[in-house]
Amino acid sequence: MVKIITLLVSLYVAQVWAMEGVSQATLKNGLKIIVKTDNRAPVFISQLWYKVGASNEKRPLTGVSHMLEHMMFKGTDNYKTGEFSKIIARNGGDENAFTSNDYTAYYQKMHKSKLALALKMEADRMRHLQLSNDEFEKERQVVIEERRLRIEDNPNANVAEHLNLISFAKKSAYHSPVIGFKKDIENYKLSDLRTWYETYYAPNNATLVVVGDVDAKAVIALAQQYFGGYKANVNIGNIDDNPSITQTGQSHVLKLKAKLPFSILSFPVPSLKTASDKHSAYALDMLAFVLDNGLSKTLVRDQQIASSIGVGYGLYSKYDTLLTLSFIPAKGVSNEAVLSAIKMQVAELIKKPAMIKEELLRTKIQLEASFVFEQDHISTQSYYLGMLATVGLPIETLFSYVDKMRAVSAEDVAQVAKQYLHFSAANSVQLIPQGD
Amino acid sequence: MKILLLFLLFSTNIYAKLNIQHWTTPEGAKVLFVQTQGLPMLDISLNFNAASSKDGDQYGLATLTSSLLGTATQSRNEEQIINAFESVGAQFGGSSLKDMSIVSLRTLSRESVLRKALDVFTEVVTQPSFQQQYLSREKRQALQSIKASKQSPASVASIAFAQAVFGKHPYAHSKIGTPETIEAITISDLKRHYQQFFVAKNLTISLVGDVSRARAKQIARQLSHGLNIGKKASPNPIVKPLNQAQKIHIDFPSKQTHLLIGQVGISRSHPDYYALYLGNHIFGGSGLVSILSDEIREKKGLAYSAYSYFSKMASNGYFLLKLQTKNSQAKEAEVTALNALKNFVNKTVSPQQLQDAKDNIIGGSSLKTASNDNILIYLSIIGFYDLPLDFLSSFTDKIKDISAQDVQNAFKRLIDTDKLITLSVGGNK
Repeated sequence: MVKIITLLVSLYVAQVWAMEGVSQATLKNGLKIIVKTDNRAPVFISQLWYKVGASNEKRPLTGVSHMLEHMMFKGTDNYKTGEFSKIIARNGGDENAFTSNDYTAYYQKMHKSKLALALKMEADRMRHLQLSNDEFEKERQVVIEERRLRIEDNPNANVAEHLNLISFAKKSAYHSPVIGFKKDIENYKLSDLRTWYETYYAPNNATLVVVGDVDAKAVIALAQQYFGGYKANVNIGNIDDNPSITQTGQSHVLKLKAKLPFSILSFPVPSLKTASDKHSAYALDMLAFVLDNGLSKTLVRDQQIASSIGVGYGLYSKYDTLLTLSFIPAKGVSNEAVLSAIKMQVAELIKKPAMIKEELLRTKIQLEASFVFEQDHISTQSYYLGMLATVGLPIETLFSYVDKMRAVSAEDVAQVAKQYLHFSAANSVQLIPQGD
Repeated sequence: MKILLLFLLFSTNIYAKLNIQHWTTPEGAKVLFVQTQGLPMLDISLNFNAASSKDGDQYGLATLTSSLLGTATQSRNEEQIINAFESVGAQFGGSSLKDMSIVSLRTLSRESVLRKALDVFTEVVTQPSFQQQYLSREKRQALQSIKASKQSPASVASIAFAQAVFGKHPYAHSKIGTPETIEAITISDLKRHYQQFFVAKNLTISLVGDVSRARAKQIARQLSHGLNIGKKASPNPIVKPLNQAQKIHIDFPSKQTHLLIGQVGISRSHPDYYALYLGNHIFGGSGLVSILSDEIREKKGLAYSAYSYFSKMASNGYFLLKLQTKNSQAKEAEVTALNALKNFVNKTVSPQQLQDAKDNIIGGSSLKTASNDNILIYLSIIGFYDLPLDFLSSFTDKIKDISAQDVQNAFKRLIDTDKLITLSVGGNK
């Protein structure tokens, strides 16, 4: 169904091919390049994705990928501390970076005339980072403040952090928070960051994604010019994989100073990457949509026993993941009452899949429309392309998504609900507010 | 995760050339339209001058009215409305701020889909039926929102700052309201608010997407046709400058202290608008490269985020500097931030700083209108605040001509460092 055109550009590129306006190439040193042309505005986004994130970390180095992300703005052999951001800003660019479980990514969004500059500077810091102790000590404090801001002073983020602690085995991927435990952040040494950088920041562990008003051949040529001289890290394949190990039946109660109760349940499930039957991963994704919609209708809008309900699923996780179900009970309603209403609705779905037929149809139409809407921002487009490549899924996954979801039947949804939503074995974290 | 993103509405940026088409509907609604190609979609934003600043003493009225749009019409109930939007993949949204209530639609532009989405949208906006069952539910939801904001030090700080800086002005209260004011609001209050403010003459319609001008005209006509013509809401009073410094501390069981320093700001028509915009960009509005972030974060590692902005509303809003740091460092951060501000007001910026900021703003102008979504926000702002249609394209020209002295003069005229509000929310030192 997907049309693949093979193009031969030149000798330095191992392979190039294109589909749906997307071109791909791999340099001889292993750097992957993905280019999607979008001519709507004279701009581009360039993202460099590294296959490293919290899922590569263990104590006492949790959060080290994120810490290194911060240090990547601190200067190289060729640019002083802060110059990276200054030069990009002076050239009209927006830039930032983000770290997650399965990736660390850096980006610049600029006018199309600045493409060479963006690639040159991003390439420079792939290999020439200067890690200074002074800058590191200050940035460590910045990251600790970031942790306080995002997690420690936010009751619901505390709950989410605890959910991962109990849902994934210690030492396995996804157990520890992306930002790291405070104790670890306080104790890394500069040499830990240096080792992390030298190990993972190599062309054969990275993907360059450019989306915008650019010519694919020109992007590939510039990538060759700036990244082509770097050597691959030949040892990267020897690092032991550390997949997630999901647990069941764990529960935890958090008593925090807060005003609203909050609960999350988790059910271990395969991701698209790990599912032996890919169709079941799409069925799980559909289950998440149907439950999110259906529970909001019955429990929030009709019965009004919850003030919000959300259902999530990590379709694109690199390793086994979770289906999560979170809710805030309405005032005066117990967690148990909401939970039992949820269980009842799931049981009904399993028994009578036909009841979701109409909703399924509407969801499919919405997904089709959303696929168009999501192309409005070049950053969303490049996010999906880079993320898929980085977790090891073919980028065709993006373009076949709507078709795969269309193929999911009500019975398929009921089947995965039956297979995975075992409430007696679910993990749960409950926030019980203290001191009103 | 390196830099917190700021709200686009409050920190408007700059602009490439856009072909903005505009007209007024027979009922008096102002329309702005940009045709874009490449994606088969259409965005519509309806901005009514109907927000929390029109609450009177019924705090929360505008927000509640807005949240009931989409719950029922004269011929459909809530589930029928939701199903109607979902069955064509359309996204309906509503929100209410201090100056404007926004109702929006995002839909595919294929005619069969567009027509259905537009019909429900028109019905929701022009024929709402305000029903007690939905009002009761939305009141309970509002009370939950109040609780949610009370467990966030950032929200507690923002709400307290608005009260301090706006005093008795209608911008002062939180748009959600208080438990007491929410409780007292009735269906007839909602109807009255709707009939007075959700009227054609009080409306800006913005459209961006892949439809012709002729189709855009029909759409705007259809939307405004069902509304009462009404009249334009009267403008809010000017916010009076503070006559003395205020120090406020709110105890909060958090590890960080949220520090907010600020004062009354400017309206969108302020004569120093561009000089202040450029100046703030240099001082605290350009992320990591700004002076404030450099002093607080880069040099001292005191905070993850430190920034400043002018809120830009119809009446003068506020100037605000914000940061968060662990409780024991709150004093040091306050002194550092205040010194940075005083220094900025008392000393002209260097030619390099000035040029860097101009280069960033001018060089980045094409980014600001690179998506339909962004264009829609600018159209709404231009229309709602009566800005000239060439606001976007002339912005860079105006920025170009500003000197370092202009920036300093403008800051000196506006910012009185002896009469600032210094608000902290946090735990024991």
